[in-house]
Amino acid sequence: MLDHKMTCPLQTDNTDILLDYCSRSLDPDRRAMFERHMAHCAECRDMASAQSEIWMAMDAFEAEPVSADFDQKLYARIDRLEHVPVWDKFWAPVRSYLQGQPAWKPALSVAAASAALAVVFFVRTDVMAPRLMPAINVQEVVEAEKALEDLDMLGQLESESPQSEKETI
Amino acid sequence: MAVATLERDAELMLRVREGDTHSFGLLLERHRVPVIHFLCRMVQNQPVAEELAQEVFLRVYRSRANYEPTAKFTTWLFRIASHLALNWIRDKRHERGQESLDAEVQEGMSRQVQDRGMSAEQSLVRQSKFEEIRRAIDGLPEKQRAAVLMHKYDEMEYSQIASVLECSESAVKSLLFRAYESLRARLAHMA
Repeated sequence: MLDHKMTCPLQTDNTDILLDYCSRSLDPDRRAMFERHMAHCAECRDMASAQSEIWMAMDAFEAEPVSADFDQKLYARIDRLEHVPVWDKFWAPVRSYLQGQPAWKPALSVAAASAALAVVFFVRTDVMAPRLMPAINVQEVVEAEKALEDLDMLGQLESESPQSEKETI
Repeated sequence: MAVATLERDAELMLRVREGDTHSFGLLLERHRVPVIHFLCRMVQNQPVAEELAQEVFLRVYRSRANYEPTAKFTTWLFRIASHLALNWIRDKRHERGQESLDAEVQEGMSRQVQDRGMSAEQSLVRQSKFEEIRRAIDGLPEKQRAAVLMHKYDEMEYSQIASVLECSESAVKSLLFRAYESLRARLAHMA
């Protein structure tokens, strides 16, 4: 229960009631109760008024429209990812890293390690010419690592998700 | 888990896993704008935001083969987006320092407010309001900024924001209250 006789939400760390009230996401019953409380609590009234003003002012922070060729660029990247020659794939993350592109940095260490491995294999295959070692697809290693990283995030979400969220999936 | 009880996004993602690229297109259609707008408000630079968004969807596509609908799809999507944005902000801060980052941000957002049949005066007022809000949001610590953006512009619940930011629900409420408190203080003159 929350009315003017109850403890003020600002004094009990129930500030989400105030935020929900200002964002109009409070259910009707709690909204009515909070309004009854505010009629007698100047602190909550002032806070709600200031928060509502900010909430509305933030509407002015509009995001720019998305570029018309966003999808085209994405599909081109997907296409490149799936069809480029092995050596191009190998150098792409290294090149991106050197150019300061985002999100490729972890690939450098993998690529460097894979390059070292590849050199070792080339040297060894020269020595053991009759039984060639199978070629290593370096990009597969890099991609697998990144995919595992992303799936790891998904896995973490599962372990953190409350039961209610799991039921909605 | 029965397919009928799956959320629509998870259902589409499972189809992508089976090789249905059309479903990936539908996912892109549903989430392209919210993800880019979130990133744009986070990094405050449109070209960078689109580049990061490309990486988000590329990562989703790359993970398709092993995808399992263990959590809400949008939570996963925004977690990837948040990670990329927070890393970008931290990298930039290390590289250039806050002062020049701010200059770059202004440049990246300068086309933001467009004239929509407004008078020159209205347009100026709008531009100035936009700029004040942008600066106030930019002044928030990264995690508070991410929480506020998901709360205000993506209408996410506290539990979902908590999952995205990998913290507790009460921590999110506290983050949000502190963030809005800062915004109220910085933007008091606009009220």
